[in-house]
Amino acid sequence: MSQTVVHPVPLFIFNFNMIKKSVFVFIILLALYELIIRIFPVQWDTSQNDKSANLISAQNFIYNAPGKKVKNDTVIVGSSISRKLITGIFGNNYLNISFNGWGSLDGLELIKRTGKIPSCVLVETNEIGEPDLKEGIKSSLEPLVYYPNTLLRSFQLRNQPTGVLIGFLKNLMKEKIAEAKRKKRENTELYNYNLNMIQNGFSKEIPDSLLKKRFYALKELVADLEKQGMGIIFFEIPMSPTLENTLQIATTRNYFHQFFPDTLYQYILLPKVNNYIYSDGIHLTAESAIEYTYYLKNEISKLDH
Amino acid sequence: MLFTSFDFFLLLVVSFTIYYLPFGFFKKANTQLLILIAASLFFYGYYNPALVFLLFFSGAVNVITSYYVTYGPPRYRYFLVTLGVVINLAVLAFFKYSPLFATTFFDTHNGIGHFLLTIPLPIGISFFTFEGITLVIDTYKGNTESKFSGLVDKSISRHIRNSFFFIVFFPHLVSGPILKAHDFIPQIGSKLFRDIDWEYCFRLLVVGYFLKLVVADNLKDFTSNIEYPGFMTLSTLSLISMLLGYSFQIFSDFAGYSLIALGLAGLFGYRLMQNFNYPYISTTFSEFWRRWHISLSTFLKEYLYFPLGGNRKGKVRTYINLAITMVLGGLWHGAAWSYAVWGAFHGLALALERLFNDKYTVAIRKNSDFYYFKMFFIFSMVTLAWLLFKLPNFSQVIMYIKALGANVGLVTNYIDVFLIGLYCSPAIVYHLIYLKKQQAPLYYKKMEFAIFGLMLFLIVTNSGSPGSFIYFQF
Repeated sequence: MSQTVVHPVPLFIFNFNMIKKSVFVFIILLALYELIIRIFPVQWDTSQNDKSANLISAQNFIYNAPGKKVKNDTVIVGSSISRKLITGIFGNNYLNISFNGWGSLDGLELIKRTGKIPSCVLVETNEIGEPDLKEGIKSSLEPLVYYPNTLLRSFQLRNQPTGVLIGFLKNLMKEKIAEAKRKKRENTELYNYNLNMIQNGFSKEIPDSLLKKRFYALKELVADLEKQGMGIIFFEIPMSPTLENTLQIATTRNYFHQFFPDTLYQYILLPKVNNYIYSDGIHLTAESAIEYTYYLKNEISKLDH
Repeated sequence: MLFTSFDFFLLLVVSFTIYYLPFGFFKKANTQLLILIAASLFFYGYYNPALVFLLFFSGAVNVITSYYVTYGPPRYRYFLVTLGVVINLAVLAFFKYSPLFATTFFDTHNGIGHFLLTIPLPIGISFFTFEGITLVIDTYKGNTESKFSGLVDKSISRHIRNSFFFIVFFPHLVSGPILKAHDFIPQIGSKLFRDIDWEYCFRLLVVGYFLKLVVADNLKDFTSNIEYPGFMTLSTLSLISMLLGYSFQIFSDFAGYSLIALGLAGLFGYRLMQNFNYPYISTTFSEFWRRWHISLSTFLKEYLYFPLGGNRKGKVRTYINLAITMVLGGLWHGAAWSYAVWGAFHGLALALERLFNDKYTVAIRKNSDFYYFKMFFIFSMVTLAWLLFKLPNFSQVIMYIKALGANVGLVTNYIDVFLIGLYCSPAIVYHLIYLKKQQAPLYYKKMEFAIFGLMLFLIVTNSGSPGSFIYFQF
């Protein structure tokens, strides 16, 4: 006599045909991709936009992607204008964690949160940034993201399939991109419009309370990191003469000298801003960035640090 | 709490586990509902616990009025239902429209204008207020129409439990779909683990998370350039691509959220209404509104357009009713006049479309060139109108449109254009598959697992930077 077997709990997991097959495809794709990027590590810039460039820089620092400790290094923190600096000119022991649209506070906060304390930090004084760590960086430090990301390279932002593809295309089109940038710069009408736009923005007053909040946060961070043996050097990157003394830039400059007096902290003097060329009034062109990096390197070597 | 956050994942795992614990006590409907209510309140008050009091207040108003609308003296029922709707709308107006009122009529630097401007907008208020209104009106209709009867339990405690659960159930609480009491309350009851439709939930969750994390979150970092005065220096091609990108971003963001909500509700044994039905394949504005944010458009139809008279009071009145419904629908999205203009644009388009259809009958063969041309035309108009969502100031919208024509000669960043196209492509394919699936259903069915596997792969390797959902601001 045949008897029907009744399971007390239905065996659902074995009925998920479509789900099982999908998960299987997912695992195969992930394993293959992981294998490929381990055998052929991506050597080019894989950022897709300013935000992804920021997060990739932050993740590279957090997950130690370049494969080095930072104890004996000098780290540059700042905004997009510092991203133009050519770290290769300084030597191998320099790292740049400057962020597009953010500022020095973001980089310093990242250093503090990761506990990776370098020997010295170059702090850009043009843009101070905000005291709170940005969402994308914060989540990269969460255990649920941190451990899988250190385990599997496929999870890291620098290895995003789209970024890898776009970086590859950018490399192929390098000359065309440079040509487009040059053309854009040569459009004086556009350049002046951009400059005017930035000038208007920089001429607006930042409330004193807001600036104080940022500078107190910076002071606290600097004091904390100094206690851990980190040296600090402040530097200001040249901008177009039109912007050099706008309200926001001048106020920020004064605040720096007020909160971090020259008698206690080391500053790199601002060179003559007329000596440089700017792509939009605020960012140095590639050629001028090289020139300024040499200037900065030379000035640092004169300092006692 | 965001559906994409780790905190939410923890909440989901804990509440799901307790909800389906295999002991008699946990199997009871009452216990299961209390678990979900507690999880929902935690979900809502996670960042700002004080907001839970607003939810309690809104819930209390709707629970009390709906109960007395059903069991109170008949002569007071109409008064009670009106009172319930008015209180709901007053709460919404106070929190949502005070800043608009302040900037329009007062000096915002001091006095009452400043006070009104600083009133915070509680997340999800537009959604749970409308759900409260459906509860009150549906129960009132229940006195005369069988479709709406039986929504209010005789036991006041069970009514409080059911109604409050209907309003706060976390999958739909902050961004919809806007549930109707008569669709949802009859589903309330004891749920068993073995009844979960896993494939249904899996499909919704994978597609939902893919649209949100891979499409919308990646597009957001390109469309953020639609900002004055930055866009004035971009080329025509860049401006067009960003506008297209925003159109697919807003679709992927909101449709993604809605699919996740449906999938999550499915895990707890509840079916929520479909909120998006491939809206960008629409060939008319009225079809678009039958496919886009369906829960809002059906709400507006049932609770505003019909009570205004719908199309029963003559042609002119029909056009006026359409325009009123759409302008108010536009204002529902946000306290800015640009939203009203957006609503008016759609209202006018619907009225003109109706006027044309009343006069002429044009038979269009499906899949003909003209059919696809109409689809493209409606998509273009809808996309252009999204500018009113993205730019807060109407004059900036005009400047953007002017720049579209004036910036032809500027240098284009083709890499950005390519990336925007690349990230839009899944949303385009999503619509195309729907169109083609009807012609070759078996082929797509066979390939589905590979597509879902690929989506899972891209969710873990190619998600954009974290961002909240666009519709949270509404």
